[in-house]
Amino acid sequence: MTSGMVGASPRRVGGPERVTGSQRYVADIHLPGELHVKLVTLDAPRARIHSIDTSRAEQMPGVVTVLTPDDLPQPIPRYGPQFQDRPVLAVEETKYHGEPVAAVAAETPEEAARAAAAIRVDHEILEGGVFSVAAALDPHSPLVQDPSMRTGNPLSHTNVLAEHRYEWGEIDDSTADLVIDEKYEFPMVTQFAIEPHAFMAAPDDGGIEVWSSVQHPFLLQKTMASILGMPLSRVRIHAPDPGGGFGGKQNPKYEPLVAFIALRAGRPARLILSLAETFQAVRRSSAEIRLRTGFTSDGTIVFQDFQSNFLIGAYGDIADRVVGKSNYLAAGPYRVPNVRIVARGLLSHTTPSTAMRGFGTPQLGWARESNIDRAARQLGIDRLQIRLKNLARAGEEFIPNETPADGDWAQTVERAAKLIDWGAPLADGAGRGLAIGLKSGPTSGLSYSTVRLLADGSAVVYAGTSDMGQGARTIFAQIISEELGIEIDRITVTMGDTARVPYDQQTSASRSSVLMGNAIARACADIRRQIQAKVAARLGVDVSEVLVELGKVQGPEGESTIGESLAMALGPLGGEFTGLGEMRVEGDPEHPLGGRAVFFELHCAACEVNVDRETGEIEVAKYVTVGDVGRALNPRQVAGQDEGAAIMGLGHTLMERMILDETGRIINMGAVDYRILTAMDVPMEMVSDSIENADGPGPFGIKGVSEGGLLATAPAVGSAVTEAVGVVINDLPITPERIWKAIREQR
Amino acid sequence: MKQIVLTVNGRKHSYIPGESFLLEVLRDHLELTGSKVCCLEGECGACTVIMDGKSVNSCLILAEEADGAEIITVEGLAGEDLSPLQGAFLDNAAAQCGFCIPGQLMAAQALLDRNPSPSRAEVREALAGNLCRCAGYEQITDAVLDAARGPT
Amino acid sequence: MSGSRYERPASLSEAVTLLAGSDNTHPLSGGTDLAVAMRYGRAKPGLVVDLKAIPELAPSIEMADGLLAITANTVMTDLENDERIRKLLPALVEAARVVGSVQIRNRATLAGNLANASPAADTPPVLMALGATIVIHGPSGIRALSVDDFLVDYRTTALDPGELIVAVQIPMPARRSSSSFLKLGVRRAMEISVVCVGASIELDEDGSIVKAGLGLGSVAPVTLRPRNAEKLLVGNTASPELFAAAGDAAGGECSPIDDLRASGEYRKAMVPVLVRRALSIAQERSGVGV
Repeated sequence: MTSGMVGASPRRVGGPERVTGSQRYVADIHLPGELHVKLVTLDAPRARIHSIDTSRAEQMPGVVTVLTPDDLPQPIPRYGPQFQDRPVLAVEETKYHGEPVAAVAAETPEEAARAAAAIRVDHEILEGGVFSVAAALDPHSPLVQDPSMRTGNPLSHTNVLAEHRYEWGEIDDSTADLVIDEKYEFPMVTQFAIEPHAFMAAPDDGGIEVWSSVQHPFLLQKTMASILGMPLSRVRIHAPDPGGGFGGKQNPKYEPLVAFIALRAGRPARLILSLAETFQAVRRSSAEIRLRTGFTSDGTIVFQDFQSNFLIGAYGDIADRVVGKSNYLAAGPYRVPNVRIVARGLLSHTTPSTAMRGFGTPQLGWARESNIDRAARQLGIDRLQIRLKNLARAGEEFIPNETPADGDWAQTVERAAKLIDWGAPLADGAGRGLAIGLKSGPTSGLSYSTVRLLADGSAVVYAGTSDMGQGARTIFAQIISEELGIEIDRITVTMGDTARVPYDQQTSASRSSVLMGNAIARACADIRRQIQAKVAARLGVDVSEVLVELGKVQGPEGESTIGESLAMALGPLGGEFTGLGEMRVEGDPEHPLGGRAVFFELHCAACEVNVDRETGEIEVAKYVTVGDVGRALNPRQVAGQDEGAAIMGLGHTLMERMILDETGRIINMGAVDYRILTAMDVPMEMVSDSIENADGPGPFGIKGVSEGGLLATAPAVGSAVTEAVGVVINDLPITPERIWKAIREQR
Repeated sequence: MKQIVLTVNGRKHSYIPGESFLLEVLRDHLELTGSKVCCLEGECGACTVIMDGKSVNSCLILAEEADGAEIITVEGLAGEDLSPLQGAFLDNAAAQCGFCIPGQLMAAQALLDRNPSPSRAEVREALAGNLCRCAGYEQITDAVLDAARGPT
Repeated sequence: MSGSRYERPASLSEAVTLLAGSDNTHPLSGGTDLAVAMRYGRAKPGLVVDLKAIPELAPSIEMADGLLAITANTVMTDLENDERIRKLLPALVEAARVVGSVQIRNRATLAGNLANASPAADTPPVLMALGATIVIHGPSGIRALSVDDFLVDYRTTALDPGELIVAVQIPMPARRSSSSFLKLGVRRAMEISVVCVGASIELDEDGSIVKAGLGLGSVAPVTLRPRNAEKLLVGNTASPELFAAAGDAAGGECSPIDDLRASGEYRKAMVPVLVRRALSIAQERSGVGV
């Protein structure tokens, strides 16, 4: 018996606030007596700071405090989710364009901006910064990170932050009839959430309250407590729903800086980044990948040999995890007996890269799928068939000691092929492409949830997940609706405040529906057990005579809904039932990633493009995205996630790229010269579909979604462009100019 | 500085502007925070409002320029109930993170006001100045077309 | 914070007096560029003179004496929605339609697009191709300039202090003539062009070209008229070969630079393609077949 919420698409919980303008994002919240913070930065990536003269700024109207490195605890506190290497303010030397060297707090944003401009930073621009993979690997290049930051690490005298090697089988070129050996480039792109990052902090009686558009409020709480030397209980993080995150809001950024200012001034302080400043705060790692793939003449992949260099930026953030986790799955969803992957994260004098939707996977998929395409063309094998031939079957252990293939992946690929009319005749200048993406979901995790079933049969759920657009609130309400038989509009979902909700590790890796979803389902089960015990006790029967299932209570006196039995179960005092749920995936310390994948996101992208031979312009006429989702708990939201991800993927495929000048400054910060797709750039026809075999680890058999849609976008488009005009592009984005150039060179 | 008279969502406000641009007047002075701050250069559309019947980027309007103008912001769309357009946005799951949605709604409302039955291409063109990074463009376009068709 | 004074004069003479009154004044109509420049401190006018209350400049598209007169406060969406312009001057609609977003086009004026003198602006190549005249009012009276004379250099116009555009006049197209506009970019909307081309041609009954106008955007510091290409067209019979030759000539007349949107090499190679296609579309629209 179900309430019919699985597979339904109710209106979004939090939707009315979003369409009336009443949804409060961080920048919409004001604190009494707040100060406005402006960062002081240099117009150069790498500079030695000799001195900072704040005297003029401090005399300016409205200025309350100026924070320089000298005003911070010494040594200057450093933080980061993986390595504690990012200083609150630049220490002696800036490492990237836009790294804050000081900050001003004033009564108005204008006064703060004027004072920031009046701060004189005596500095010397250092030549020879590291802005490219080649420079990072050049032993003559300067070191981005001081070796003392990681003494004892054999890599400390290089710009390699870490190197990961994964290997199984043995690469032997003689086993292959054809070896494709190519180099691919994936550009620096940025998350470009429409809500620029926003931070506020307020002293709170020996503790601190922080507001941040953050995806991981509990990680932020831990960071703040550690940096400020406060107990977790005195650090309260308010995390209003972010206006888009895409990974860029996972980890602490300027919260520590704002907190130091607030504590110094004894007043609340706020820092709202400009869109341009977000380009200097977050980005996706660019990558250069050399891939050798060996095939037999029938298209069987015999080996894949990756050398991946990810240019991760000035500080570690979570980039090493990005490199390690994505490369571990670089060989993709295929049965490949021999694999060697050497992956490096390279420090550089550029914006620190962080998580971004797909977490390194799109970079590798671009190389892998493009190589498969080349082989198919050279071997005269259909591009769909070569993939199906090598695709791991359900249950197959395609990576040694890893979670076996957790779905009927061929079904996904065949569905996409069908939806794009694979093999149908094409007009001149048109081409089709198809590619597969595979990403590991979380490898460990911990989510707690509390569900309160109130006396009138309504419910409140407390969850530490951030709803940044993926629709977590709605999913959670649907799960409770199903588990307890409550109408969805009688459920309140409370999130975004560490003082109110129990611990959740993070909102990332498409995990929340599965991990938090399970925690919530367990909290509901806890409530059902309590109801069962209470009903049995009140009836004076053994608990075995009472059955409480999804929304229903069955006892000796017949069946009723949970709502109907609630008053009896609670008794004369009323009250409520409080259920606790925990979902813990501890992982495996022996595993290279610290744990096996809880689930995979397997996605197939297929498209049809028209290319103008003379100008190189590309029109994506039709785009198909199919995901193996286990079960679409909310099909409308799944479509929104998949199509949205695909369109975001078309950004790095066709137009997005952060451009650095020769001195390493970003020259296209902002919306004018860094283009993301508009409504008019969306493919003429967009089709999304899901394969639902209820074979996922989440409630009702769901798997995570949200990233899958962009994993294979670039290689699908690249493949289609090649079919359309015969040229192969190895470097993203595939711009008209690059196509034009390739066509010209082909002649 | 001289006094400015502005009608916002049917209510008249007279004041001496301390802010330079209409967007800040709305957000900071009138505390109507539905209009959003993103690019502040007319490229993203998050601050879109309807001014004297036309959709405009409120970040590009000087406060004094708005003297005498009639402005509708996202807060002015709903009456007792949500407007049909707002309802259609909910029914189509067009609002994901929601940050661009006020601007999308105002651009879409201005379109429907002048063209009650737009084509899909016309909707896309009318909303080209409203960036959505969740890229809910398909859902947003569907919602506008649904609203144009009216209740079924 | 702009820190600028603001005036909204109700007459043209008052506006001219205000604009001429001090060095650091700036006229304002749509403000889609000025407002951004002011917000980020790239423009710090002491006085902003809002032209929108001046009756003579009020949005209007009038046809008289063989001319189509577009007043200074006429915005892009006014042009897009005007049936006469859609029919007679399709190139102008095509160019107006790709200036930013609807929100921008509801504010941005044709006059402002000219006065801004950006080499990448969309409408000046069309106005150049159509042989438009800019009517200017200033302290010493009224004068008129061709687009070529008005656009002096990169972001520099022939306007003297105190002068402002009151209208743009476009000759009414003759029979057997038409125009077109093409823009090449990476994105389909909200795009600054890699190259854009305005083209107009007038043919006689036999398909011989009587008049030809071309304007190129984003290939030089200022909107460029490829004179050799125009010369090559006039007096010859319209044909794909002729249009291709004109395109090649136009390509030879510009030496675009590299910037973050495209290389000069690509731009130069695209000029012939776009010119050829634009001419061919204009010819097709003229109703005279080849």
